[in-house]
Parts: sequence; structure tokens; C-alpha cells
Amino acid sequence: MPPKQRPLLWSARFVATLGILSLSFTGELSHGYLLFGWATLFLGVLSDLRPLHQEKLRTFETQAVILLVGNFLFDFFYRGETVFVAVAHFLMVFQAFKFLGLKERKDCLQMVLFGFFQILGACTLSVDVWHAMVLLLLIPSAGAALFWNESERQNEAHQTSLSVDSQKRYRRMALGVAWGALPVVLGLTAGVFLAFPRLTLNATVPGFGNSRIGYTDQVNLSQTGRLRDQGNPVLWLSFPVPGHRERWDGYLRGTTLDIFDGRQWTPDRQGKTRTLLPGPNNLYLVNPAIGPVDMRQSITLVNTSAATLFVSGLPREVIAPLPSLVKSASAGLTWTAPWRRPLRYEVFSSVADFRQAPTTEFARDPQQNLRLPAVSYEKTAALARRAAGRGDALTRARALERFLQTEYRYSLDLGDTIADNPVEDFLFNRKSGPCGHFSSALAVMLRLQRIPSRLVAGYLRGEWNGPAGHYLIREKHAHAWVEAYIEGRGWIRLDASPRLLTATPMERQWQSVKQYWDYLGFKWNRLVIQYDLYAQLRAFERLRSSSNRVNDGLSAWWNKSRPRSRGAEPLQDESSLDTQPFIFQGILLALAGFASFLLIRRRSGHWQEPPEVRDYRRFLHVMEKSGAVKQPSETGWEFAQRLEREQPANKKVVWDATRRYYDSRFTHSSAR
Amino acid sequence: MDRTRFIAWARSLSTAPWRTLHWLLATRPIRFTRFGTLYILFTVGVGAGAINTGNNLLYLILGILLGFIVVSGFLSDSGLWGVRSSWRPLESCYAGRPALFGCRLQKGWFPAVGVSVKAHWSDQQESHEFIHWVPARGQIDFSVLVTPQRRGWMRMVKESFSTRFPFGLFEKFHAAERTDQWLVYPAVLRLNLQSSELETRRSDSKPAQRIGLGAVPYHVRDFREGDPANRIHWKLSAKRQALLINEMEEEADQGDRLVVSQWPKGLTPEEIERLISFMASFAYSLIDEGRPVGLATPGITLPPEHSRSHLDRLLRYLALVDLGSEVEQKGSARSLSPGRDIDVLKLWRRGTYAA
Repeated sequence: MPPKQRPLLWSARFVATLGILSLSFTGELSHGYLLFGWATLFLGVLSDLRPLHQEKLRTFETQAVILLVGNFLFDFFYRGETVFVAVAHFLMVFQAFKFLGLKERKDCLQMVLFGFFQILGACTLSVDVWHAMVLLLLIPSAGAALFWNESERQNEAHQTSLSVDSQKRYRRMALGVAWGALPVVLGLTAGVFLAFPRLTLNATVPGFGNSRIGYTDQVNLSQTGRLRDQGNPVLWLSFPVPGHRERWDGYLRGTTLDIFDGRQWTPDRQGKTRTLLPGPNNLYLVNPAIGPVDMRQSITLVNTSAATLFVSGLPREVIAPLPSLVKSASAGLTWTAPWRRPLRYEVFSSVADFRQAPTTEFARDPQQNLRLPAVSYEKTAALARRAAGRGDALTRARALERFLQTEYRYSLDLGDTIADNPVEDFLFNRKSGPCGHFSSALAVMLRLQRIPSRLVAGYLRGEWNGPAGHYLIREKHAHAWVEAYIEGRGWIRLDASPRLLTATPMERQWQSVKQYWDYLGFKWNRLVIQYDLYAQLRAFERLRSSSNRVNDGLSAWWNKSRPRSRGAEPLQDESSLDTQPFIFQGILLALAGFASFLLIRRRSGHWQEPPEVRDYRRFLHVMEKSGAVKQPSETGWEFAQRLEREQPANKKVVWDATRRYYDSRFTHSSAR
Repeated sequence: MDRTRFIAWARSLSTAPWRTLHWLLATRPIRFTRFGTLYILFTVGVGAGAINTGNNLLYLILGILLGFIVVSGFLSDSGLWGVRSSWRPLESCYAGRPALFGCRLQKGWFPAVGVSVKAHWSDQQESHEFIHWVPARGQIDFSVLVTPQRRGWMRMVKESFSTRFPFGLFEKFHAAERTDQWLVYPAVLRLNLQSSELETRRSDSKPAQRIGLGAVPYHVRDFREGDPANRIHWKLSAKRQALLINEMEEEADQGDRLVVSQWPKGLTPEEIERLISFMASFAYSLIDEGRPVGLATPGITLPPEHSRSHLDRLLRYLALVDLGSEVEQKGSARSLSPGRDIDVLKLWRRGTYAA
């Protein structure tokens, strides 16, 4: 069969397309591999039009597999990719051979399997809502592919080929299988998904990490190129209490970076930390001594690779399903146990206390935040003196913040070269950069002014999603700002970055559609991705309570409809009376089921008789009821002739039934 | 819809729950294919991965994989449920000779796709046929070659239908015990009857002086419409430039009667089969030549005839005859006129006639 008429090939291509598509959504694979995959897919379709050299490719398959294994080892050991990414690269290139080469049945089946493995890999790499669409399309396309594979295998095994009529029937059957399977598989998938035990053993398998690109707890100035404006969702933030939304200043603190080595800001890993254990209902008392709670936040963290709890304000209490939390000296919260799923947590925080004294009981000495790396900052110090002017520490700090905001330009371009002193390069040469450069310059200038300062990495504002009633924070909203320690005021926030996230005209046009897509993603995340043991228990609890309600309703109806003797007093407890009818009904149902089972076994002979014979028996029964009884001495034909005379109105029915019976019974009889 | 049809329809509705229950309770043997085994192992692996990581997308994929198994089971069962077959031989069956058996497959509400039909016969034989498609509420005919091994009743012991439809993950079977049986005539060979003894017997036969179906030409007449073409005397027709027909004289011969006055004793089963086969072949060859043949044994006496139905009667007796039975052992052959007796045992022992 030519390729363009071969259903197996087309269905296999479709599954493979879904595989590459799902990998493209993850954002984990390099663009080169993805581009290669797409290109070979389309080239493969074109090459099928003139399949001249496809056979030759097959001769290189063994060598290619050896090369691909080498590539896999290179990816895994040298480039440090996770197993999933390395396997995804391997599959992508191996699949290219299948796309371009000769496509026999087994090749098509391999294309389907590769596509499936790619989808599987993608599902372990990301949790985006795109996977819902891919999985939805996978069901009919994989069903059709497997059906055609089996059909071709049968033809191979029996050395037959389908006739034109059979091909048409098979096509109709494939459509039926593909789309008929969809609701059944969806229903069963939902059942398995809801009921399958959520144990989450978390056994570690070496190399099978789940690291993702995204937020990092460091600010590195030694980078070149251009930062990507990634749109992957990081977290969803909502305020369950009305009015709290207005109190939010738009900042979500993540990690505090105290140490600067001239090129990179990192947290103080030597500093004091405290491990917190949860109380009842996973409640952590983080800072119980602070004043009243100003803000309650509910956060769904989609990307948990940084193992950091993002919080607005100074957290007092946190409710999170984590085994433990680690509180740092700068009030940052992290966790250490492996957590690969989205995390939903609630924070009760104090905004006012944070603005006044965001510190902890074991805070490090602010004077430690005056240390500068062993690099000359003479020009920077002169610039800081000039820009800060005179006044108290707060005035000078605000002046420096304003100076950077007005005199420098925000840009995602990092340049092509790495300077020896990135801060001075930014301040005196480039004069533009991302938020990391602004905040680094401000922190250094503050330290040169003898004002303790530190960087904070976190997120800024995000997008308000009306349908969901949540803020959606994406990767592109990652931000770095500065906190300066002012005597008598504590740590205050300074944001020197003149960052302005503006939507492009295209984005504005599609904003409402995008909001609903994001909302879908939110629901996908909430209902599917976050479905865990607790959610499962809650679902079963709800099921039980609703079944109880139905039972109560039925009991009430039974008691209402049951006739009571006038004046009779209830002798037993009402509740035990309520359940009585259902016990009886249950027993009756069980007896009926058992009786029907016995009856079926007894009548099993009838099930095997041809329908014509059964119909004829029914016909005789009906005739008997109408007074025309077939005599034992009469043959069927004779009976029909008599009925024709006696009941001319039923002539057609009588002859139809008799003829069908005789045709079935005797025309095709054996020679015994 | 008239009353009768309405009642039939209502009754068919009332049986639906019983059918459903029967469908649910029926046993369904399955066998894993290699692909199916790998599929199951892979599903278990995904399940283990899902339980280990708590990744809900893996749970979804696990659900899809399990869903495909259920869909596969449902569809394959629907494809096999309600398959009915009826078998019949398309020609007479002789021991040791392949016979064509026709089978009609009928299907209920769902079409049968890719069904393998296997018939198990009483003599350890199996017939196998692969059917691509049996339409819903339709039928399909096919035929298989079966070689019966011995005379007598050949039974179909069991019949099984299997399919790998729709995904090739499992092979599902539906088997049914069968009680159909067909008669297998003894092995028959066409014998060379040109021996001197038989020719002498033939030459003894006297013409009946009237037109008949004998071997001796009686006279020649003009061709008339409806005359058989094989009796045209071509040479004479060419000479006279008109079609002429050979007409044969009816033989006064009343035929041959194969006589076994007493069944021989002490024969091995193989020898008995050879003797029966020889008798059947002898009778078959004689009748095939147009000679009336009768049979006289301790168990049966059949007057000479040369019709097809007579040959069937004769072969049926030979197919079922049991030399050890009381009737065959204690009785004796009755010699009835007309016809001449041929001592079959003598001829068989002499081995005069070869195939």
C-alpha cells in the first residue's frame, strides 16, 4: 500500500507528532533537538513521496544506534543532563531515522512507541496544561495506530491482503475504535486517577532527578547573551480574605543573598538556621512572637525546583504539607525533603512587622553585610558619594535608589563579554542591564556608603487572572531587589530597577483568551496535578457523605410512604427501623441475582440456538395464545398453510417466520 | 408494527437483562501475546513510577494504559460474542482423501474482525481458517480441506474462535463443544477391472435385443435434439454428412453381486480396513462403469443396481459395518437372483485388481 494510503503510517506519524509536541511544551529540551525532530518529521512525509533511498538508511541503523548511545552518555555524564532529558534527546534522534527511513510495520510501531515515550518523559518534566490536550489526543491516535498495526500483522501472518470492501470496513472500524474508545478510556482514566492509592514512596533512583530551569537562589553577573522572557507559570497567589489583596505590595520574597564575591550573590550558607517541625494540621509557627496577622495568602507553587517558600511580608504561621521547614537568619523559608509535585501552602504574615524589623531571633549581625569582595571599587565609591549626597542613612539610600532608577536603563541584554568587574562595567560602560545588575550595583554602593545591604531574590507582582481570582506569577516575573539595614528602622526594601513589564499589542489582543487558558491551567493544576492522598481522602469522604445523604433521603421516603397502624407506638429505635427495608431489599436483590444465575445456567442451551429458531418458537407461542395450536403431526409448512386459511390477515407474517425457520434449519443442514 | 411483531420485539427486550447477565458471567480464556506481555510489564512499570513519585500525570498515563486494556477486552469480546457456525461437507467424504467442508459463520450485533476459526475433529485433526471480517447481523462462507483418517462417523469435537482484535494485546478465545458428525465412506480407489475373469463374465452376458445402456452398439440413427453429444458417431456422421447417433443395446446382464458368505476370522484391524476398502473400491469401480452391483454379506443383502443412491447405500453399509458384531458373525449371506455372485474374498486374497 502506498504511504499516503497507509493508515498505520499516518496514525504513527500523528502519535510521533504528539510526542515531539509534548517535549516542545516542557521547555527542557534544547531548541536544536526540537528543531531537528520537527524537520525530520516533515522531511519524512516528503521523502515518502519518492521512497528511493529509504532502504539505504536502514543499513546505517546499527552504526546510528551506537552513535546515539554515545550521544546519550555524553548528555548524561558530560553535560550533566537528567536521564529524562538525555533519553528524550536519544529518542528524538533515533526517531529521525524512522521518519526518514523505510517504514515497514515494525518501524511504524516503533514510531508510535517513541512518541509515547516522549509523552511519558514530557509528563515527568513539566506539569503544564498542554499535556491534557496531548493525552486527550493520544487516546484516539494510539488506539487507531495499534488497531492498524494489528491489522497489518494479521495480513503478514496469514499472507493475505484486505479487499477494497474490507479496507472500507476496517477504516470505519478504526474510526469507531479510536473515537469509541475515547469516552471509555477517559472514564476509566478518571476512575483510576481518583481511586488509585496515592502512596508517594519517593524511593530515589540515581540520575532520575527532576531538576527544572527556573528560579535559582543566586544572582550571577558573569553571564552573556540575552535573558529569555519565559512565560512558564511559577506560582498562583490568592488572598482568601477580602481586602488583603490591597495590602500586598507586589513583592514575594524568596531567598536572601548576603555574600558577594564580585561576580555572584549567594546566600550565607554558614549562617544559622532552624529546622521547624509541623504542629497539628501541618501548621508551622514560624515567627510566633510578631504582632497581628495582616495578610493571609494562599500559594500554589508549580515549580518547586528551588525548594523555597515564597512569601509576602514576614510569615507568622505557615500551613504546608511538608515534613519540615528550614528557617534562615533572614526569615527565608526552605525545605529539604524531596518534593517533586506542585506545593500548595498558606501563609499568615505581617506586612507591618516586616517593614519595621524583618529579622529573626537568631539574625546575623547587620555589620556582616558590609563586606565587599577584594576588588577595587574606587570609581563606584566616588559615584556613590556623588549620587548619595548628604544626610542620614535612609536619605542616602533612597537617593542611590533614585539615581539608578533614573540614570540607567533596564535591559535583558547581558552583552557578549564577561567583565572582570561586572558592577563597574554596568555602572560606567554598559549602563543598562537586568534587575540583577541594578540590585548588585545598589547593594555595593550602599556597602561603600557603610550601609548594610543584601540582595533578595523573589518575584514581582505577576498577572491578575479574573476568572481564577488569583495572581499568576511566571518565570519572567522573577526579580531581585535590595534590602538595606537602617538603624532604628530595620531592613527596608529598595528597588533600583526601573523594570516595567508591558504587554505587547499582540498580548493585549489575546489577553482575555490567554486568561481563560491560564485559568484552565490553574484548574488543571489544582484538580489534577495537586491531587494527592489528602485530596483523595477528602474525595472519598465527600462520596461517603453524599451517599449517606441519598440513603437518608430514601429512608425518609420509605418511612413516609410506609403505612403505620393508627396509634401504634414505635417499639424500636427509629434508626434501626430505617435501615430495615434496605436490608430486605439487599437480600432480595442477592436472591434474585442468584436465581437468575441458576436460570441462565439452566437455560444456557437456549442461548446457543439460532435467532430464527428462537423467533419461530416465539411465533408458535404467540399463535398458541391466539388459538392456533400447531399439532405434533403437522410440519411447519402444513401449519403455515392451515394458518393461511384460518388467518389470511397474518399470511405474510406466518410465511415469513416459517420460511426463515426452514431456511435456517434445513437449507444449510449438514449431510449427517 | 403488527401485534405479532410487537410481541416478538417486546419479548426480545425482556431477554436483554438475561443476556447481559450471561455475558457477564461467561468465562473468557485469554492468552497474552508478546506485545501484550510487554504492554503489561510497561503498565506495571508506569504504575510503580507513579506510586513512587506521586506524579499525577503518570497516574493519568497509567489510567490510559489500563483503559486500553479494558477497551481491548470489551471489543474483542464483542467481536467473538454471538459467533455461530454451521458446518457441512461439500462432497462425500472418503477415508484418506481430502474432503471440502463448508462453514457458514454468522454474527450478532457487532462485527467479528480478524477471527481465527479452529475446528477440532475426532481423529485428532485440526482445521484452521482466518476470517478478516464477518459483518454485524450478517454471515460469511468459507471452506476448509479435511482428510478423514478412517471410515465411520467423523465428529467435530470442539470448535474455537479466537481473535487478537483490536490492538493485538491479547488473544481471546471462545470455545464450544460440538456434536456434529458426518459419515466417512471407506477409502475408495478406482480399480483396473480389465482382468480376464471379469471380461469373461462380461462376455457371458447376453444382449437383451432392445435399446439400452449397455456396451454393445445396437444400431445407428439420426441425431435428435436432446441426444447426448458423446454418443455421436463422428466417423459415420462425417461420411454421411449428417449427425448420427450410436444407440446401445441393453444388456441382459442383471449385474454382479459381491458376496461375502462369512466374514473371515483372525484378520488384523488393518487387514479388515483393507478388505472393506477393497470391497468399496470394487463396487465403486463397477458402478462407475455403469454395471449394476449388489452386495450380500451376513449383515445385509442389497440387490444389484447402478444408481448413485444405491452406491451411497452400499458405501454407507461398508462405512459402518462392524465385523465383530453379532449380526455379522452369526448370519450368512443370502444369495438372491438376479445377478451373478462374485466372491470378493477370493479376489481380495488373490490381489487380482490393482488401483
